Amino acid sequence: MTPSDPGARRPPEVAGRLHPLTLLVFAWDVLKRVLIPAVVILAFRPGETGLLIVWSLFLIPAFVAATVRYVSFRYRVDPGELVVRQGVVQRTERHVRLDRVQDLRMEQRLLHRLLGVATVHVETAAGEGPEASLAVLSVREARRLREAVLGGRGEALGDDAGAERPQVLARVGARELLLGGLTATRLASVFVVLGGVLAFAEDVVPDLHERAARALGAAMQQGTDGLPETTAAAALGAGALLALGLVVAAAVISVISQLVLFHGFRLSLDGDDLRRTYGLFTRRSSSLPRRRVQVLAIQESLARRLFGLAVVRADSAAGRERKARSSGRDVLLPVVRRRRVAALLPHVFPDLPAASPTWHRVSPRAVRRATVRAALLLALAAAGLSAATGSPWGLVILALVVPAHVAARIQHRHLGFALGDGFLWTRRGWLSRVTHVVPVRNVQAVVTWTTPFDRRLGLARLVVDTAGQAYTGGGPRIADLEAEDARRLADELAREASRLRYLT
Amino acid sequence: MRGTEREPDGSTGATFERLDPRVVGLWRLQGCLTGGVLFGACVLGGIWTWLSDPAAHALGLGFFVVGAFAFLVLTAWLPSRSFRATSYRVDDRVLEVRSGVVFRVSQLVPLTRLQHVDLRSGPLERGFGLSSLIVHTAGTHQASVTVPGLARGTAAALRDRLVEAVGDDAV
Repeated sequence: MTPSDPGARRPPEVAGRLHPLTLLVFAWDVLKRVLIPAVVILAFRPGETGLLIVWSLFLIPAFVAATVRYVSFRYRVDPGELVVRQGVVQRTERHVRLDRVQDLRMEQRLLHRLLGVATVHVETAAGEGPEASLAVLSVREARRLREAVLGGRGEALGDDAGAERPQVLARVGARELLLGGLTATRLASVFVVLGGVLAFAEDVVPDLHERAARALGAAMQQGTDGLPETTAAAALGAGALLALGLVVAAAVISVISQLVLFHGFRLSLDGDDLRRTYGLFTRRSSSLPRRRVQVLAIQESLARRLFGLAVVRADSAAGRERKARSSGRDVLLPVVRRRRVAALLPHVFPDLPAASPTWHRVSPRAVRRATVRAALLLALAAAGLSAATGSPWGLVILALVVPAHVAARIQHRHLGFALGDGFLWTRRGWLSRVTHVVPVRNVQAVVTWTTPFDRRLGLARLVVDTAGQAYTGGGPRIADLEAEDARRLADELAREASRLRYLT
Repeated sequence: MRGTEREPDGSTGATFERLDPRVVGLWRLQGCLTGGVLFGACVLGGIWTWLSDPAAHALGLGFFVVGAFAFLVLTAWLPSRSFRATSYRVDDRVLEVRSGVVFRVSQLVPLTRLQHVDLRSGPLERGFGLSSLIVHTAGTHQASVTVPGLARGTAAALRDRLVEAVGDDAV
């Protein structure tokens, strides 16, 4: 904490209560949640209005609690800490040390934007959720609070840190988001949503599945009555069309959800904070202090690589948060042109050397092992196929060993690491690639390990452990190193990490 | 890769130290208990198959063999091999712990990353006069590194030595 100095400019005192419209926002949230089930119940089970009334009585305690919270809530920013008080009967007072604050994010749903208010969440490294949530404040007050909290953290940001305008590092346009949505792998979530909808429908309309199956069976019966021979073909065709329809629907949903979630994405640098602002309906603004970034990952899936795109993810010491994926907080940049990433890195890691790293390859014996493994698998498959079909043509599969070997060589070319100037780089992957950048000061532990097969070939694997691994896919690791190289690299990394101070 | 320049504080001086030999007895005892449970389950399985199908001698015998094998491995083979495979070294900068028989692991923890150091002693361990030393970092997957089977005095001395080296690198 900087000692108070008569000449220094002290931030104006920031204190206050929740915005008067808090209760209105709360009421709307509750109403939204009960409205749809209420309508559905009223529509399908008209006789159950009594149940509905009883159910709504349960909402009263929630309203009472919200009113109490609104009336009693007080916050203020003292030197070095944020103090939040609430409650009448059970009073809680929470002190959050400003220098432990990892992130301060602002969230605005559609209603918030109409009313000119926002929700503020203050996050530290401890715990899974926000240390303090202020719902709701006026936008001006929220911004003032953000400045006070982030600006008052006591690090030497310089006197004019607040006066500088934030520097925009990257913008993600609609076209890139469109491509990103098309190449995203969120198909699984679509099925989850569909499953949820079906399950809910089952609750409301009993025997939904049986009724649907019977209806479908009857329709199929009618439709195929006149075409007995082509029943199988028709069924297959229908099935294929359905599958195709599902894939298309999934793609459309994926694109739309990306566009809505990340609309107008802007990554800017304000002092030491990386600020992400995005969202079409719900506008979100999230701050991440640069020095809290533990490791950066640049991921290029095969589909994205074809378009020259990549995703950039950063882990902070706060670790994984709930709903990070659905709120878009698991990415630093949801989609970006790959060639622009290099220019972006020095803004995230100010000490990063300007020159690109000199990559070291791993052991070429890895190629031999990969080829042998592929050959064994292919031999097994060929033998199985030959036995199943009873013809020697199954052995033709063995010819795939050649492309497998080529693939192994390409994979080997892309597997590499670089250590220098306080940073460790690792990269791997041929079709879909991932590159990790770790400042050595963030290394918590280094592990080398070998399987019996590794030992036979004199190879070893190395894994670097950092704090808060959540979104970067398991941390930097290098496989297929020469055993001696692995030992030396681990030793060097651990020693250098020990010399460097781990910044909070 | 940079050349291997050694520290002026002579970090290559430390040697790897083994665990206390009594830990083999502890592991044998633990293996006995676990192996005994497994063996019992296998015997039960064998008896059950024999009762349901008296002609299936091979299957029942198979259960018995598997159970006996597991028991032997856990009590006779694994403890001494693990003892030989486990070692640790503390020098001025790094704590290194090696372990593992089939999958050999070497964990290196920079001393200035230690958040805190625990000594843990379970009931069986206490009977053998041993403790385990657990160091915690701010990491995710290697957040705690354990050195088992240390004599009480050795564990305490090691802990003191490590605590001295712990910096103020709190998260």
